[in-house]
Amino acid sequence: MTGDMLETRLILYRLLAALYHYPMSEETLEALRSLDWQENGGAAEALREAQSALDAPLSAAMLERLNVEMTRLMEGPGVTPAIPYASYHLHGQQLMGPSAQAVRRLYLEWGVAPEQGAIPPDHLSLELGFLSFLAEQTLEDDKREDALRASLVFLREHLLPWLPQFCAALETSAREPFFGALSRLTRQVAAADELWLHESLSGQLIELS
Amino acid sequence: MKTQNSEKQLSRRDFLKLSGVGAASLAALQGLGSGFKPISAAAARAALQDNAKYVYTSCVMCPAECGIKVKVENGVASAIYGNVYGPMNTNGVCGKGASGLQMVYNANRIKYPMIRVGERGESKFKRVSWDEALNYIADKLIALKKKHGAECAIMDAGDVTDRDPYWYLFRAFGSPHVTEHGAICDTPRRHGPKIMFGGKRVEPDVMRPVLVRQPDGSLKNDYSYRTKLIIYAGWNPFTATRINYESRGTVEAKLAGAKIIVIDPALSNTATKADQWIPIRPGTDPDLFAAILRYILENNDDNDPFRRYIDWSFQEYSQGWDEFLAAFRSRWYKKDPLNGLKYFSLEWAAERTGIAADKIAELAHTYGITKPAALVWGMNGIGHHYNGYVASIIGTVLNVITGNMEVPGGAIDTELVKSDKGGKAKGEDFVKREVTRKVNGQDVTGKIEELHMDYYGDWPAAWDDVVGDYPRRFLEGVTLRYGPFRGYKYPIKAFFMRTGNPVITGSNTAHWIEALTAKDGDEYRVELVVYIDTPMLETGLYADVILPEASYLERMALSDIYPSHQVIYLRDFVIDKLHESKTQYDIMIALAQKLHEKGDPDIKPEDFWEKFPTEEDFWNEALKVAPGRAHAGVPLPYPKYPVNYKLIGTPDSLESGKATIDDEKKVVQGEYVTAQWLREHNGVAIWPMSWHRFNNGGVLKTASKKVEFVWDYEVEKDGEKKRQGQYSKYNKLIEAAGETPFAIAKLGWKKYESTFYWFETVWNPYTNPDYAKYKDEYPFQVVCGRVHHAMSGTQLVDWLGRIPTEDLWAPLNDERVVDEIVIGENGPTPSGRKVQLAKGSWCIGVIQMSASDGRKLGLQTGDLVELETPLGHKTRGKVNLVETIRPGVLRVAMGAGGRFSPGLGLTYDFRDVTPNANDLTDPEGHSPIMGMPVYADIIAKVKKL
Ligand code: SF4
Repeated sequence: MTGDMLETRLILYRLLAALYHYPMSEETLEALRSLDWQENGGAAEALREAQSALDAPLSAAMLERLNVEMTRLMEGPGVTPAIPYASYHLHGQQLMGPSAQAVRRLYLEWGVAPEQGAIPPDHLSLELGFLSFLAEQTLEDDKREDALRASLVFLREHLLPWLPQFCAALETSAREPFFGALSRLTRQVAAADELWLHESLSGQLIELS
Repeated sequence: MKTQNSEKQLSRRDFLKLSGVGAASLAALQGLGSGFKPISAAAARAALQDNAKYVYTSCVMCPAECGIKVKVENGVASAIYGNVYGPMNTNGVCGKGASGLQMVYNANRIKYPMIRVGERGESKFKRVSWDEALNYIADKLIALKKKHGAECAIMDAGDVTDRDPYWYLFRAFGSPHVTEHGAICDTPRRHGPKIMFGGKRVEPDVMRPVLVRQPDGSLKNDYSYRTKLIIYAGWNPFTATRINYESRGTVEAKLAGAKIIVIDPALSNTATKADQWIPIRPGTDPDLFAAILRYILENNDDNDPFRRYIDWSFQEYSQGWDEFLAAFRSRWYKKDPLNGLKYFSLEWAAERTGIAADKIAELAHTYGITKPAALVWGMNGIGHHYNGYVASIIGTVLNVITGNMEVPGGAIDTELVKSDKGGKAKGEDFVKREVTRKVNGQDVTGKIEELHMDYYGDWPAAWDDVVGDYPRRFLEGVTLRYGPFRGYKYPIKAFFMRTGNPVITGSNTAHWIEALTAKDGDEYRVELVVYIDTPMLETGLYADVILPEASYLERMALSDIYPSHQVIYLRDFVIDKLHESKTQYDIMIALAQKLHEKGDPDIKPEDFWEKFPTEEDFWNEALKVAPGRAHAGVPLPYPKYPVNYKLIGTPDSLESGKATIDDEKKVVQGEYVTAQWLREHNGVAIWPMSWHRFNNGGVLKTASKKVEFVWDYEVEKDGEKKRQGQYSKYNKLIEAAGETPFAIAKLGWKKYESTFYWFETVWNPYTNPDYAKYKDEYPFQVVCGRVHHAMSGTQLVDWLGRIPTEDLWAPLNDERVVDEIVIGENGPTPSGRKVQLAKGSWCIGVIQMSASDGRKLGLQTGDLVELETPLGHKTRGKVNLVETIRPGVLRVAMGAGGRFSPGLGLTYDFRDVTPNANDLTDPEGHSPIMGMPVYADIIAKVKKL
């Protein structure tokens, strides 16, 4: 099952990174919709809410509505209610502060750089994307432990310090139920993953070969 | 890999048991990628190295555009300092400049192109790609051009001088309407220097150091302040830092013994540093200047060293003085109908200005006798009044006849002596192209520039790309009344606004909104509104397309705001462009490519991407004309070169003699200045200063190459008679058409007066009989002041919100719940908590009122009042009762209140209790010569709310 989980983490982070990367595409939303969570609880509930907030089949009008709402919530112009940069929340409402520098460093240490260089490196989509990159590394035996450890450190030091604040802002200001659900899903996945990583790495859950 | 009792734990933890991920969506998710790409170990190592550097560039936090030095660490700008090599600010950087990173790294910056999806003003947009945005614009522009001609489009490039790429593009597209914020700012102020010198802006000689040729032939920096007296009338350089050196230079000059006098209804920051503050009644600067002129003329005694006011040497480089004098004198025998006193007498001026007669006499005497001196007037006092032209002309005359123009320590027309820039990159050649239009059923051919809505419409004397009354054009369209296309009508259908915010700062706010939202059927009358900027201001709310412009640290340009001699700065790339912003050059090329692809016949590759493959190529073209001024003055900058030849080239090539002398063209040609040359020379090129640059024509730009006191006159050349003078070209148009521009017809004129003229300002019950009836019901005159913000564009910068300014921006907030922000080591930091913002802890725009007026009205500081004009225009705000303003006058800062763009932080939050000066402006109030809105001709009554 752990193997599944490693893949599951990859899928979730890929998906979340894509959902915070404008514009939302039909493929991403279809992928979201095709997921099926067997458990009951926060994340699964949020997933189901997000899914039920989508038309079936996905209409062009729905996609347009979501992208207009996403523009208002996170893209601009000017002030947006939910600002998807770590630095904004942690460093004086300014972008490119120390938290952006720190993640840039980390990316470089892992030998990667964001494909779109002009976007501040601490954009939520990039931080989630980096977690998906690390999740991908965990599929390889020789990189697994390092990547899992790095994921835990990344979550604790870089994403979780601001994610709840961002998600709260997203949830309270969303006019489309989808974004409220997305906010909850994001928060739950990150929190649960932190716990899982912590326990895995403390040797309670998995034995690393 | 083995699991250890993980099933149970995992299900309890409710995590990560997904199933049913369809193969297709799994593939789609794999296809999404992580958003990261691998880079080589070497590249990663290099990027990880701490590579701090410094870049010389220029500021844009206000239009002073100082030279700055920016520290960049790991690609992130981390600190801003002044450029010690630039004389404009000599290492200094003001509070705004220092807080520039809060603009560049502001979370509320416009980051991506947007297209409107709601109604204009609703602020509903959708983020789109550049391609979509440019397609939208290009399709619309091409369709509009087919239907209405390219003249239906306006490119207003706002208040920053680096707009050449936009102007170039729009002129190439075929529109004569390229303009900037100056068009609707303070044109009356510049009028005197314009018609008398061909210049624009008189400033005191206090830019230091200046590079001066020494008797031994060497060049040395001169730090000496020779000014003995500066009179600032309605000009407040200490706050409205349009010219950085002026505030510092004024203090230095004072320390060196100069006397400073400030004439202003309010105790401005400049007045606080003055020896004397004279609180004049608003709108009466021409009265004061005229009384000074009369006093000087009547009391001058060439034989009495204590009354030798006039330096007659001005006659050597001027013409038309006798005509001017006769016209001026002829009025002083007449009586003012309002007070029965003779015009320009001390008593008359005292009655109108509210300054005692003996004080005016003392001021006139002091000004006449103290040399060198500079009389300097500004945008508030003179630039914003209907009759500012009159004051600007008399002020210019005063500086000339007292012998203060162009003497060391005197007054300088900075427009005439700054370096030329732009050249072919301005695209002026494009508007010389011929076009044909159907006028009254006939084909008429003329030049594109002759389609200009103002020069050939209602405002023939609008010069320098000035457009006076926009919203009316948007609503009513254009009728050409002069020139070859007389009778031709066309609508304004496309409006591009770049780095400007006319909804707040360009005349009456409601009128602008009306013009931008007026509809014909379902279609907006102005069919295309494009907003290009870094911050999102109110005008953007009415746009169809929003384009993110690179911030000033992410783009290139040239700067040289009003120096005393030729100096030019490079604005350089400091950091990489953030988000999806593009530079002016990028936008010019990208839109040109789109227009070309879609078949626009006027956009040609050889004029754009083939001619300027890189951004630097464009700016190098703009530098080819630098410094471009006549080689003139004492000490002569380059004794080895002939006098009055035009100088072109880098300071070192001219100095080393690498230049060639073209006697036919009268040009000394050195090596062109380039961006790279500037980079290698601390970002700045400085050529030598000299004085007496009007001698033998020198830098003067009038037809006669003399200072002109007459503006429409005849000369005989080779047996032929020719009309000359600044007004002659307008008058010829008027005579040919047989139609007087409506605004001057209101003055009772048939055409522009050829020498001294006089008219009263509007909405002034104390000087204009037409408004005397309002005196009791509307007892207050409202003028606009400036706060430290760059007009309407920097209110999102947190630090600047905290600093009180001039009793206009004061901690009078009421109690509110807002996001808590604490000052941490990285500046203002939100704590994530909501807090009660205590009363009196944050600065907001307020209404400055004299304490005595407040007492009479039973008001207390902080009371909310409503101001209402006779036209029913209203605004509201809290009064700040102080001793720093003349009774009967209220002052409201431009851009400081009533701000409804949500990205402006607390300025937005307090919009309901802060006043917008332009809520009160008379939308029909356009000053008669050039159409400038009358921002300061306002009367109001006050009601407590
Ligand atoms: S005066 Fe203006 S240009 Fe100069 S540093 Fe201050 S904000 Fe920048």
